[in-house]
Amino acid sequence: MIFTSYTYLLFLGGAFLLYWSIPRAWRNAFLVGMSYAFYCSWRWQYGVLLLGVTAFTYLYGAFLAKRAEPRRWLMLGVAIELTPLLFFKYLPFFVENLNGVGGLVGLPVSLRLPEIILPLGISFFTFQGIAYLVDLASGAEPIRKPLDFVLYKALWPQLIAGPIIRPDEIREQLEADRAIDYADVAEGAKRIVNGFFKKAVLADTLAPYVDGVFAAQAAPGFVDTIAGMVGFGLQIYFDFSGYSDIAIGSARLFGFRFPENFALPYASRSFQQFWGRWHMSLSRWIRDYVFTPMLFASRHRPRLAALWLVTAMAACGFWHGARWTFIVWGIIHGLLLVLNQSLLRGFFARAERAGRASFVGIAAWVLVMFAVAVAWLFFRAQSLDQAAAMLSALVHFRGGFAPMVLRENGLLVIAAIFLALLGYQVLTAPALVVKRWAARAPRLLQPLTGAYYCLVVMATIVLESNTKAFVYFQF
Amino acid sequence: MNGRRWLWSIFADRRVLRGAVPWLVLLLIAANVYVALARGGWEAARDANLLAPTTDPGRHVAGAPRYDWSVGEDVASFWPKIPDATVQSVVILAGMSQMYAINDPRPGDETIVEHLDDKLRQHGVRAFGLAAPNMHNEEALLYLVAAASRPETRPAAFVYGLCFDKFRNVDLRPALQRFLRSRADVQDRLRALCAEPAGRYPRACEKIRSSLASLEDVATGTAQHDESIEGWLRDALGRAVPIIGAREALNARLQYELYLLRNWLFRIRATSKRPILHSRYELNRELLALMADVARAEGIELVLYVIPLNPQAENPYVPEEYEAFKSWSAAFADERGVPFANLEDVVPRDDWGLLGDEPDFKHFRAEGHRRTAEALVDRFGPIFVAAKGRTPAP
Repeated sequence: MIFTSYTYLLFLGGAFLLYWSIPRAWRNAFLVGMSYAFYCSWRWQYGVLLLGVTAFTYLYGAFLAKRAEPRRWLMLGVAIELTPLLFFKYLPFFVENLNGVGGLVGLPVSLRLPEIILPLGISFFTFQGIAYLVDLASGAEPIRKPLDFVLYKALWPQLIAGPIIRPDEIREQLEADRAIDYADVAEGAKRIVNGFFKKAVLADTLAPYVDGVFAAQAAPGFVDTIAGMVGFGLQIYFDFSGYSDIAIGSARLFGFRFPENFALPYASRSFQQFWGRWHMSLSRWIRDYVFTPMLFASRHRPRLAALWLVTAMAACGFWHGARWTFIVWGIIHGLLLVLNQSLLRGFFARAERAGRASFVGIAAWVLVMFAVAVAWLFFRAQSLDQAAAMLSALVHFRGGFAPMVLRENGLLVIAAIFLALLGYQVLTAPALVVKRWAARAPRLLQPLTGAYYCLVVMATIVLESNTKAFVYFQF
Repeated sequence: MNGRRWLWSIFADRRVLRGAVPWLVLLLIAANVYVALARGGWEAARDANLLAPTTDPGRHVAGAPRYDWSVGEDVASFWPKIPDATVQSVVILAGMSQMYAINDPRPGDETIVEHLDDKLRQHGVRAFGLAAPNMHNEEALLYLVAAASRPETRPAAFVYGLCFDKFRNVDLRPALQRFLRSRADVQDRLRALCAEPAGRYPRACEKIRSSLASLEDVATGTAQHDESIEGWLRDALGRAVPIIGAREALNARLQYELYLLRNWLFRIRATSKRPILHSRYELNRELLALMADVARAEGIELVLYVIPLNPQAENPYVPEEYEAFKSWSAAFADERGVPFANLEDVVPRDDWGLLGDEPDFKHFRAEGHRRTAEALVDRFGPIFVAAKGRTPAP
């Protein structure tokens, strides 16, 4: 059951009405049931896997909580927690590379694996489980009630593609007698409507054009490559932030407050700022559970910090997918962050302080956007060869200004959405202008808001085509 | 306060009536009323579009359908109408909108395939049409493989009209994705097809693999049972909420307006020369070559022809590119031993209709359909009849 479907709206509406109609004591159990129904709507086997991982994490957590020196046992727990992920997601990658290396050194290695289907959300609930064990080993309180813990792992709005919620962000909410008021319902509904629009209208409209540029054998030229990079950057932003909006909005309807996952990342004026605004729950996870421990372990050798930063970002890339393209994407971002902290530190600090319209601010923004777009090229490419060919098209100005893959439609759609986003979040922030204007005529504010959401709802109904899976489902 | 009363208290909150919600509800009601009133006009306009499937039963010749009236949108419903190839010889005619679109139609007008069926029936051979607007080679390959995969639909000959500008199209349309998803046997055959000659046809095989991958549950985001619930919900909501019911007509209208905007913005006219996109052209050439391989392996006679074009209308093709396309098609057919004809000039100027105020360069009147069918029989009749009785190996 995909979020952007009428089926999901029916599921959500039914769950909402039932949830608030049943006795309070049953509510968490009800949410667990609904979450497993949601997850098993793809494949019932997924539910068994999730239940197994949940049982292990809970029991091992209880075990850690009783140890005098839990850190001694932590690595074993993390390794077991990672095993399903390694099997389902990374085993084919390792086997493929082993075969490749064997071929290079002249060994007749030819290992074959049966087709392995990647369970949805496994990367997310594995990271969530690791965070739980690490926090316990660091002295955090465990989630005591098994039912609360099962809900923490399975709660459907965050189950498939995050946000990655850490125990301390939700523990109290799980245990509390949750309540909502009109403002929560209104906010939840708004987030859901905006999420539908971002995904079904903007991201899915961009998808076929981007797919065309990155299709195997497509041989894009300079213009196509630029459009493909920018188009994919927009597609993944609207896709994933739309998903996050629906997740956060859905959770709000049941009294949960999830952490934000995006905060205008394409308005960033430094790479550090970008990672503070893009997929925030993952970047915080990488910082706290990968980078900081490595940094701490080598605290007497501060020069290694840059290496750990690149390593952590490479791990972040590898988390996204078992392909070299993702690893390179992570390394590029690691290097950009190192640059941000070293050679260009002064420049970016000035840019962050300076106004949006200042020369240094604009220069930093252009630099960040260009580098992020080039990195997207590796993220989206099907192979390093394809990414290299597209980079070469960029450098050698292949085909000049004549597109070789895209037609006018694709260029127009990508340009229009790019300019709209630019106008919205970077240059003039028209939403603020509208608010200021509406403040002068408060009677118009409600009709204008109503008209805005009416347009958004109608556009979503009319423009959504065959709903495609969210990009982040594959991670 | 118990749960239900508390729930009601949320909806009875004073902010509901004083906020944006009443405006939103009012505007949505107004929009739905407007759509309900205007829907008939939009649907009539959509029906008047030559390329769309017609919902007017009077436009079809009485009797069992002899081509897919849904023009690719519901091909599964028309698939059983293919004459049983185990009891008689069958010729399938596939191609783009020229196959079924009749300019200035009158009741009783027949399409190319219906004329073809009339003529071949005398020789104990039946013809059936599988056409869709802008059909390209991957879709034609899908039809060929699907038809070949069962004895009762396996044709003796598969006739495919080559249209130059369709060599720029890619991707299976959603309706054909649904059709392919429902046919596991066809998926297996396509998979097997690319297991072997992938080295010869890298582009085509990559494309086929990607089309197959997009059918999988995770990639499309929905499982089979999910899809049927979603379909039922959409139908039910479509009956109750005018905007949802008319979303396709609204979408078509909006797309048309955007198309006009694009043309205005880029100064594109119906006759503006549109250079080919080489990557797509190469992909479609490989897919055509794959069709030839499939047909040969299945014992099906693949017949190719270059479709007729209006001699009085300027077309959007770059002349050198179009000439190269025709030369390549002839050479390809010759090399593969595929029967081939260039029917570019078989329909005279008086048999073509108008597209807006200008001559339509690709869609003719009923007479054009008759002439094209006659030309096909003239060029390939002996091949169709000779194929009769030759039962391809299953």
